[in-house]
Amino acid sequence: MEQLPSSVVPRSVVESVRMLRDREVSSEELTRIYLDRIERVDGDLGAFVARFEEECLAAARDADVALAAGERGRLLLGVPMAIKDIIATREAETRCNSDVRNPPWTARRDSAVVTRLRRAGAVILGKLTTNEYALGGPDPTKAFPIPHNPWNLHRTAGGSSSGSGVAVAAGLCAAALGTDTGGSIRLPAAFNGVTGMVPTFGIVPSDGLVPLAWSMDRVGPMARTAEDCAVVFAALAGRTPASRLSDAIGQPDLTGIRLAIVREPLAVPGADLASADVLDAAEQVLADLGAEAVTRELPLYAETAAAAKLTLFGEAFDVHRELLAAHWRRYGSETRLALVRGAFVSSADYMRAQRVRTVATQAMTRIFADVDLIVMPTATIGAPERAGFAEPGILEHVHTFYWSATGYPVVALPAGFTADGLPLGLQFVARAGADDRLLMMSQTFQSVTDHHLRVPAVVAS
Amino acid sequence: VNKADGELHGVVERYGLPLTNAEIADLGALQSAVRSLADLVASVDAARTADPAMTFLPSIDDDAGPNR
Repeated sequence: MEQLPSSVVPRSVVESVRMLRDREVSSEELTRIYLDRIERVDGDLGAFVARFEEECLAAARDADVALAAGERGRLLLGVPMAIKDIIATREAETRCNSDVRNPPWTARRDSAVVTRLRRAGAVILGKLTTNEYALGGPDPTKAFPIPHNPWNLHRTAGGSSSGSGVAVAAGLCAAALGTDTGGSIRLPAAFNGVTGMVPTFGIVPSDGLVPLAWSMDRVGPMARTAEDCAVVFAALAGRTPASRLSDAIGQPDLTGIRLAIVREPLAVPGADLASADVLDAAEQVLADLGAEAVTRELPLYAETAAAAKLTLFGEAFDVHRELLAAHWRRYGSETRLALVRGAFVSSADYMRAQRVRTVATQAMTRIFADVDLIVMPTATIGAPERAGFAEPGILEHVHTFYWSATGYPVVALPAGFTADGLPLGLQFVARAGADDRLLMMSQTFQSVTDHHLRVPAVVAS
Repeated sequence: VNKADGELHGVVERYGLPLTNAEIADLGALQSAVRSLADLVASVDAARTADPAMTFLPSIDDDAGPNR
């Protein structure tokens, strides 16, 4: 693994903005650099399903005019980004990696989040691969690219925001948008060694997002650093113009922060041995920064994760039931069987799941009254082989569903590697609405660690 | 057709899903996995927690995350 040389492309959104404002590079030059990189390496990585070359170069030239005039108000002015293809953009219909067309989504229009990115000055390079309708797996019988993990091309990129994770890890865009219902930002962030943020449920608008499970769907940024995610999140939350890029952290210090480390995921048989070391090392870093460790258990952990899965199955089946009946064989084989699980969720099952979500959320609210930060593994394994990713034994090592059920903000960040060089990640979680504070704590952690700056050799070459 | 197979075929017929025979054979395992999750969730009852959410019906909107 190597550090990404800044002479190739800027190492972060923040560095991109600085270079654009200082006229070290123009937005058009930067956009052409990314388009060239996509052309050269994406054939092997499969991150992009559509490129908007004409439109993004026009947007970049507009940004250059504004930058030349000294504009500083827009957060992402001239910064090239890419969008998961279940989020609507005006340049192309939203295809969700599916041969099944869902009529409301074939119209070309901008989703609320893309409108906000454009308002903040972002340049939209194109659309990124997703698991079919954010649920199935890559299907080689379909005409869509198969995403490959840049750390090991035989390993899964995770999902469902697989293209977003790959594109950021491979330096094919400065940042990307993903969506997360059961872990679809956090898992590809962990497997591809990048940083992803899932905002508090309801803070970022979901209008224009093809639904998977509407009571848990969230849109968020994926980028190299928490600081980058903070800039994109500010744009997604509608905070433009802004006088500064992000809150400067000054001297790294977490004095006064009460920290709970959750170790239960390490006990699942088959967890990678390095997972415990990664969590221990992070705890030591946070303690050295002044955080005070306290012991807390997550209330109803297994039951609440199960409630999230039942909710996802039931809501997704309702979204797709007519299309499934009409186009069964046009769905990927993995997707249609994943969707049909919802037919077995009864109304009583669904309502009990909502009660359990409420109980767990309220219990967590009480815990967050005197805990500022919860840290736990995202997954306790590195990216598995693509073919085996959907196996039940693999998914037991994924620990994202509890926070899907309860809706708290989460930053998933790189924190180490397995013995064979695959990234491992942690989830940082904070109380509802404390998104900025969570990003600040994550940024502070990254200011004294370098896992997030490591990139696969294939990218740096 | 035994009772379990009848339930599976009932789901297929109710929703008009044109499953292949191989897929119908997979439904039993899918149904079993969903029932395991549902049983785990149902183990949280009013006897296990005194939280009012277990005795008053929550609205779906209110359940959608902590941001309320």
